[in-house]
Amino acid sequence: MLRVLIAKPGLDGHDRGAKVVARALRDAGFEVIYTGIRQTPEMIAESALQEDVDCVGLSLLSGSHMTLFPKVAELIKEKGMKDVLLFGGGIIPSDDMRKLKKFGVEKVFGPGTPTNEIVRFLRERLQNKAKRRKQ
Amino acid sequence: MLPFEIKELVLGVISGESRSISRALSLVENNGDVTADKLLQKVYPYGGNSRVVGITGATGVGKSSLICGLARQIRKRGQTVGIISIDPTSPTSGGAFLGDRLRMQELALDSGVFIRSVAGGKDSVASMTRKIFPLMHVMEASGKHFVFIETMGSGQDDCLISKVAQTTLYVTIPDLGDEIQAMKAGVVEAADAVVVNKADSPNKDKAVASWKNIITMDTRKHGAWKVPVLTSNSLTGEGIDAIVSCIDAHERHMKDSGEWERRKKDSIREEVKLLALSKLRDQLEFNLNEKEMGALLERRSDPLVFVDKFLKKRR
Repeated sequence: MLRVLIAKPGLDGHDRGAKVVARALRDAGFEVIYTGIRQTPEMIAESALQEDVDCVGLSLLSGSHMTLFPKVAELIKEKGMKDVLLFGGGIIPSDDMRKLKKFGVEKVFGPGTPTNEIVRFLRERLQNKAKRRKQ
Repeated sequence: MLPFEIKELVLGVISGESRSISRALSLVENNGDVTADKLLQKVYPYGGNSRVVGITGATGVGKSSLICGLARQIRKRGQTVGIISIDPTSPTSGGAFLGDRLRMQELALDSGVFIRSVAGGKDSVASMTRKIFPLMHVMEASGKHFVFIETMGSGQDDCLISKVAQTTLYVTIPDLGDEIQAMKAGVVEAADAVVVNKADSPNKDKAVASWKNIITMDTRKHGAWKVPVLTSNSLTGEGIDAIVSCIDAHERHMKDSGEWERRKKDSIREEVKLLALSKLRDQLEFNLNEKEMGALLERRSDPLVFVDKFLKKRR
């Protein structure tokens, strides 16, 4: 079973997108842990550790993604979770998407992304883990 | 996993190291294989020292928020807390939406608290995962003073929690049924305390009176623990103190009366039974082929015939 943490760092309370993605992943067979809104990077990283997740999805619409996303990536590595896939979503300029990839946020999905695109991305990137788990 | 890796993991668990606890929980939850069994066997001797409290009740009554309040209170005494929160698995997709942690996130950065969200699995039992005992053993081995086990929103018949936990709190809210509901058999009678949560409701007193009225009718045993009816409000923290005191008082009562040992034995019996049934289940295949299904659809045969057949075919 693949486990994913969906979290909203920062101060905006617009959680519709995070909930839609969480729901879609649930229906695609993932175990989704939803932390809710207003999370600090520290809370997200510690939750990811305790929940032993395979990936972490961050949703943010307040514009502070260049500060908060890399911080989460850094803390996750610091805690020894080297194989946790990090992805994001929200209103994020394409220039920033490219920059974020360098910081370890593998993919950022913009508004209007079909949810099956996100499911496909995660399944592809995590297929080796899923196989190992089944053995 | 190699033997030395398992050994290292066990050392990590008993030293209370988060990453190890987390990985060990995943292993015992996911694999019914040799690694999981070995890990469990190595961890088991270190368990049995935590105060295990079960929290059950219908969906939405505030179990997770209540646990958050209780854990906060227990941390003030300097004791550590492990939390296992179970939510249902989708019968169709096999996925799950685990939303209990959200209510406890204020504890996320407290190094004395470890929270794990668990999906019940398609083969869940009594609003819990079939792996509840293994998960509890790992949590206990990590040295937590208290372990809280939160069931899914539970039905009337989900009494297993009272065998897993030493003390079981049944959480309810005002306006959720009248006295007749409280008189029914099942999980309600397995409770060691009833907590009427969301006590800011104007109907709180009526609910408490109803529950007290019914519970005082219990004529089963003399000198037995008197099930208290408590109230709480997770938003203000009201009533949390009294619930923690009640959990402590219940422990003293059980130890003085011999109930503690009796329950321990009950719990072990239940675990062995659950494990045996789960292993047996894994050995069976319940697949009907088209011909067999046809025979049943047309009632040319009956289900018992196939049950016998499956049991004979046991691997």
